[in-house]
Amino acid sequence: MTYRRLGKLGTIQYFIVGNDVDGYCGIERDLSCEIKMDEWERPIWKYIVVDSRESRRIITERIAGSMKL
Amino acid sequence: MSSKRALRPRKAQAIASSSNAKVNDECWLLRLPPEILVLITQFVVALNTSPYHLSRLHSEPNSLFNFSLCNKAIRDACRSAGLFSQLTAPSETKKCLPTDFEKLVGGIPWNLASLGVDLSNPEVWEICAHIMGMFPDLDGLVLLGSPQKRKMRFLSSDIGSKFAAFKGTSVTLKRARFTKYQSPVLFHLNRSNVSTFNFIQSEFVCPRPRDFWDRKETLFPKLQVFVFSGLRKFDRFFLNEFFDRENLFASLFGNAPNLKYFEFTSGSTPRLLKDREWERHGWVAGYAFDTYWNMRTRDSVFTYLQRFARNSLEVFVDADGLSGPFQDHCSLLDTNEPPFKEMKLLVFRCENPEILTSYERNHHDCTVGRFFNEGETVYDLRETHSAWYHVKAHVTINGSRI
Repeated sequence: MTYRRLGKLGTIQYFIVGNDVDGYCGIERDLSCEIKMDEWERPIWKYIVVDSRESRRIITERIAGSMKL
Repeated sequence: MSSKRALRPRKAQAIASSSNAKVNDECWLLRLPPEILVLITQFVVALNTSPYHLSRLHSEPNSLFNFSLCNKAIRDACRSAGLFSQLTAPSETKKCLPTDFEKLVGGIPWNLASLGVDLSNPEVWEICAHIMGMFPDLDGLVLLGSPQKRKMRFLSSDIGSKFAAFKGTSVTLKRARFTKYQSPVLFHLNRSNVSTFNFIQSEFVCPRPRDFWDRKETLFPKLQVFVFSGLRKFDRFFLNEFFDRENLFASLFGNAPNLKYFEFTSGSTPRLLKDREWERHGWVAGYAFDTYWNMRTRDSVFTYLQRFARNSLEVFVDADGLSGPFQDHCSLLDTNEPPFKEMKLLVFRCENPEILTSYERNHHDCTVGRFFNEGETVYDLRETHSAWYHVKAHVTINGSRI
C-alpha cells in the first residue's frame, strides 16, 4: 500500500510479529534488490525469514537505545 | 463410651510446611536466609502481572502487598523487594503527620523510587514534603489532581520549596488537571534532569502571560521518553490548546532534540455511523464525540512529532491496538514535513492475529468519517477495516518518507 502510494518503501527492513512470552518471527527485506510488480500489479520484493532469536535480538537492539534511560 | 466422638479441630498448619521441617510451629520458609526470602518475594511480584509488556507503564501488582501481611520477616523481605518503592500519601481527611510516616517505615532504610502527590489535597502536602526531604535523591514524582485555587499556597509552602529542589528524572501527571492559572505549579518544579514524562489521562493548559509565550520556555529540555495516554474527551479549553500545535506542545515542550521514545494511547475510539444513530437528527460537527476527539488527538500528536522530534525519534509505540475501527490518516500523507531520520522501530499492539491475516488490500471502506444522508441507512454502507491500512499510514508518516 505504501509503495503504491509513494512509489517507494524507504528503508523499512524488518517486519516482526510476536511477544516476549510466545516468541517472535519475522522477515528481512533485501534492500539491495529492487521492488518489482507482479502480474496483478502487486509489489514484490526479495526477503529472508528471520528466526525467533534473531528477531528478538533486532527488537532488543533497536529499543535499547531509548529504553536504557 | 459414646459411639460418636466429636472431632476436635485440627491445629492450623503453616503454608508449605512438613512435619520434619517444623520446629516449634515455626514455618520452614521463615528459616531461610533473608536474601532467599527477597528472591522469593521477587517472584511473587511477577504473579498476576501480565507478561505481555508493551508499555513502559506497568500496573502495580497487589500480590506483593498481600504477601507482606504474612509475617514480619516476609514483610521485611517485601520491603527489600520494593514494597515501598512507590508511595502515595493517602487522601484521607485526617492530616498525615511525619510521625505517622516514621511509625510506618519503622526506621528501616529503603529506596524510594517515586512519590505521589495529590495536588488537590493540602492535608498531604506536609507529609509529602517531609518524605521528599528524607529522600533528596528521589527520582520520580507522580502528580495527581488539581491545585485549583491553592496555587499560591502550594508555591509558598514547604512542598513548594521541595519541588524547586527536585533532582529526579521522571515526572508523571496522572489524572491531573492544570488550567492556565495553575500550570505555573509545574513550571516551579525543577525540571533540569527530567528525561521521562508520563502524561496519563490529564489536562494541561499553557499559561497565557506574555512572558511565558515570548520566552517559549521548554518544560522539559532534556526530555527523551514521552508516554501519552489521552482522555476520552477533553475540556473545551484544553482541546483548543491541544489542537493548536503552536501552543501546547510547542510552547511547553518546544524543540525536543533528545526525544527518542514516544508511546501513544489516544484514550478514545472512533465510532462507526451505525453506533451514532442519534446524530441522524442533530448536527454535531460531523463526527461522533469519540471520533472527533480521536481524530484531533492523533493529528495533533503526529504534527507535534513531525515538527519537533523528526531528528531524534527512534521508537514510536501505538498502544491503541489494531482492532479498529480506524481513523483515515491519508490526509496527513500530503504534508511536506521531512521524515523521521532516526526512526528504528514502530510498535503496534495486536490482540487478535486474525486481524493481520484478514487482508483487504486497499480497502478501508468504513463509516468513521461519514455523515448521515437523507434516505440512507447505515446498512447500505460497507464496513471494511483493514489493520494494514492503519499500519500503512503510520509507516508512511513515521518511517518511509525518504
